[in-house]
Amino acid sequence: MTVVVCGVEELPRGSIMTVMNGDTPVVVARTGAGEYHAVRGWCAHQGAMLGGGRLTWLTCEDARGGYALSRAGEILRCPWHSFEYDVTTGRCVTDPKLRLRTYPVRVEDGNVLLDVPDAT
Amino acid sequence: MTQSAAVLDHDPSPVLDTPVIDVDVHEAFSSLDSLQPYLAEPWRELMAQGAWKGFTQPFIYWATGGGNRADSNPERGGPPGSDPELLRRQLLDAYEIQAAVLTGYFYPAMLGDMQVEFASAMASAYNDYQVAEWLAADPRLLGSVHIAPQDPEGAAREIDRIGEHEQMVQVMLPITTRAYGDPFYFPIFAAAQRRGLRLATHHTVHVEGALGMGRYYIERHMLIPQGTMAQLVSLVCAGVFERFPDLRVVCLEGGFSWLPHLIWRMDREWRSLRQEVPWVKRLPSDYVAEKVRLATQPVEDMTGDQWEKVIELMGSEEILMFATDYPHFDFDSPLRSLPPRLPQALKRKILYDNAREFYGLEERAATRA
Repeated sequence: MTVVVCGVEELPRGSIMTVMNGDTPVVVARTGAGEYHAVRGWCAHQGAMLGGGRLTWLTCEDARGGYALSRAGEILRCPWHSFEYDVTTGRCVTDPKLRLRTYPVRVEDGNVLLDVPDAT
Repeated sequence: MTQSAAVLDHDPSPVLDTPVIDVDVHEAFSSLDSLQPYLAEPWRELMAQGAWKGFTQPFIYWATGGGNRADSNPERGGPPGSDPELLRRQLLDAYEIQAAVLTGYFYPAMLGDMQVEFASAMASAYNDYQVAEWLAADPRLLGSVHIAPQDPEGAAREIDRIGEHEQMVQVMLPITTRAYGDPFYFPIFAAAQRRGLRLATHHTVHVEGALGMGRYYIERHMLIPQGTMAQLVSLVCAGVFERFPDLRVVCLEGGFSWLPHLIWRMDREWRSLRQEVPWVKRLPSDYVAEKVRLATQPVEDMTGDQWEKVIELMGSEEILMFATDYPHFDFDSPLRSLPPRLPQALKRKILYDNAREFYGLEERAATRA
């Protein structure tokens, strides 16, 4: 089933939007680079609605042992315990065994479209 | 089973199959001005002049929502935890919670040794605010008497003043850098015992590990249990549980899986060095089993087998009491924080029975009826 999420202008770079597929939340994210991705919107840890979290970056260590930031708008952080998910793969950054289901997203005629299984 | 697999080991649509009591819920005021109507003079006028601006935190929070769940900001404005309606919706109704113990997060203990009269006045104002704006809002809410422990006589008067309110169940003992086994604090314990109230320890932003706060917030958050362990050791070695035989203590948000180590160590030390503390008349583990309860939050992501082993090593299924810590960022969901494969009877003790017994909720209900 294809769902029209919103117009492209309604989802700026670095932002997220939650779409309900029946009872299942799907978080659609637009990365800092402008790509679209979608993941199932429940945290695999304690079940928080990830749409209440933030799309952010990955902190890394720079050459001086300080903070460097990368992958802007590709990391979805849970609103509760702040677990980090890579929206491009659905994988939890700190635990590869924790993984969110991903869904195809595309843009057509200025709209963001999401392909999800038929809601039961 | 690996730890990660345990985290994944969830029923996709869990349902609550036991009633729930939540023993650590942090209500908050919208701003310090919320206390003004309840504050006695001369403090009300001084506060109106902006003579004190409130507590500050000595670090920056890294979690998604700062110190709170990022989804807990009230639509009407104000900080997380400040809207009784949202608290009802996100916590009490969402998880069908039977009773929730309010524990605040405005602890006059953090004012330190200066101006203890002001600290006690702020505690009194907070208690009246809590009664009027929270306990009156929902009968499922139970209250904590806030005190300035640096003013033990004032604290005892406050416990006597407000402690008889039918929804008040305990006295808060915020953990800063002091050990409560010091006889200086005994008037507080005498008053709590007199009023039939429990004691609840909870860390403040001032609590430190053995080597200080740590360089990073994550470090400090890992070290918080040290403060709880230190308070428990202090209370046991000072003979507080002998001197005040009706006192019972819940340690909130300080971890629990360390307890087997601590009771074994305390028992061994007592067998060796008991001569120094003759007021400690029984094995420390006996006092713990009888008088001390630990709140579960923040749970460590253990498997069901690991939970059962830790509880077996504690020697009692009655010690743990469930807490969410709403609205703080490390909130534990009643649906998801305990492994689904924990035996049903044990799960029910943790989520409900142990707290009901500890706070005497059945007897309270019978008294009111």
